Amino acid sequence: MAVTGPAFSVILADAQGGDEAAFACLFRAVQPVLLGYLRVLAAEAAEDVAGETWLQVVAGLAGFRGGEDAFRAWLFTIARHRAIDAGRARARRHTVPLDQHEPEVRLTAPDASDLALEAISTRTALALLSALPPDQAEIILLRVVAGLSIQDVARMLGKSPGAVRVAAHRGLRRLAAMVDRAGVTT
Amino acid sequence: MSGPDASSPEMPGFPFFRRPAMPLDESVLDALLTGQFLPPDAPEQARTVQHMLASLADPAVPGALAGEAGARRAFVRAASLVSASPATRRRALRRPRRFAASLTSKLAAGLAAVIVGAGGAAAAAYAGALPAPIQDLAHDAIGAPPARQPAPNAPEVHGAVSGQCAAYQRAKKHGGSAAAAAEFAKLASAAGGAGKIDAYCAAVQKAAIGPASSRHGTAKTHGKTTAHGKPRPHPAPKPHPSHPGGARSPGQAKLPTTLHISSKVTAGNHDHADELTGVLRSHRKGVAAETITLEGRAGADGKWVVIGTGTTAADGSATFTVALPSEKTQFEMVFAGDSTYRNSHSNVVSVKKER
Repeated sequence: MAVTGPAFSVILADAQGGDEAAFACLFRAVQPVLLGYLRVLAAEAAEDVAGETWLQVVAGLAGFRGGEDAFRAWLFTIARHRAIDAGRARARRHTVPLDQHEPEVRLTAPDASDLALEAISTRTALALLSALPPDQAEIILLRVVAGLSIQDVARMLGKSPGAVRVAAHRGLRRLAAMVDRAGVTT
Repeated sequence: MSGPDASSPEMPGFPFFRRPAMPLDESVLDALLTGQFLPPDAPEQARTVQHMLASLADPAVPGALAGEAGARRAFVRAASLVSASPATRRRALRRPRRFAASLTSKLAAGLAAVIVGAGGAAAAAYAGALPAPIQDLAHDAIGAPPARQPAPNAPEVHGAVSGQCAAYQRAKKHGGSAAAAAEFAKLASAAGGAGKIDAYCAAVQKAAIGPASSRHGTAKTHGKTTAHGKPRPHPAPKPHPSHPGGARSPGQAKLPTTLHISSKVTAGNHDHADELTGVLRSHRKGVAAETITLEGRAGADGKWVVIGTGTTAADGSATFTVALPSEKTQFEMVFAGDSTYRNSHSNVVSVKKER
């Protein structure tokens, strides 16, 4: 996972001051992870939702206060909301009544051919994550890939930190089992 | 490990859900969870999972940085509306903007943002535009031509280098450079030695920041990436009519909204009630006369059900009073959107009666 590290506060301040190169730095540090997260949550709408997320981040950037962890938590919270809204909008267009089980996220099941790949690729990673129960996939994406703290992840998903850790462990165990079964290696 | 399992045709039934989980022990799982490097005796599958997850954060994979141009445009538009003076003051205290030059080498080494994007250092590497020693390193790692050859277009970048740089730097944060270098032997050989990994990664990052910021100079009207440290003052900041900062993407006419829910427990006669207030805003102003739906669910795993609807007041707020639940309950509010406003939903609040 790419973090901006100790230089973050410098880069953030420069970006808040209007420095485009600094903003590009923030963008590049987050965008791959953001897209990965959204590909699992919003499938083909991932890039649109990412775009909406950045619009909101840009609008709120000048007023943001906090370190790198807080920035990521803020950004991914926005992304999550936009992804869920996109899912609801899609479902509403199919006239699903609100009081049914909410059409949360659309996860795509993995291809057998994806699992049989010998080389690791981003596509394989997304395919395997999509095969997990949605909660586990989200938690792993937010905690392990995006590097949000367990507290932040817990707050975002409305769970306790203990539940987050348990779900993450379960998901990781399943990923390892899938990897083992498919004979996937680096 | 060899090829696919013979029972691949069973995949549609997802047999791994019926098998017992791999016996990864807690310490390995926690290491994966916190991003630490794995102990040498960790199972191969754990290592594979770690590298696989790290690849999701890899900026060098094609498409990983899609959308950058749009985001930068939005940023530039928003930045032009910010008054210059606080930024100018801040800038006066700060080093020059080209922070690739202004950061000390120690800071640069610690700057683990891997900026080797498809188009950043990769393009520079293929064009032969990197400094010669880095060009040779890039030659080894990503197959870019060595320093003295000119190169035409930039084909796809081999993601291994930048992904490993990022994973290595994270592992180093937790375990120390010697152990991390042993883990990333490939990276060490690309860098020309374990001790050179820091310098190699930092050099790749530095080189990427420089060319990238000047590459976009021609497309911009504000000229922000010239060598000047000061933002040019905008003659007249644009007002916010129906085009707030141009933040809407083409073809999308609706205004974005945010919905925030807060919860207040009030004391009644015998029972306590919970007052849930939602505030619907667009561009920091309340949106009135819109329908908000309150939903709730039992615990954190129950199904969301609609509890009621309300209409927002002039300040965008809508308040619902519900009896305080005895079990932990979660609430959220939803705004369905209309022809003017985009839909949004609120944060989730958890409520439970305290005994």
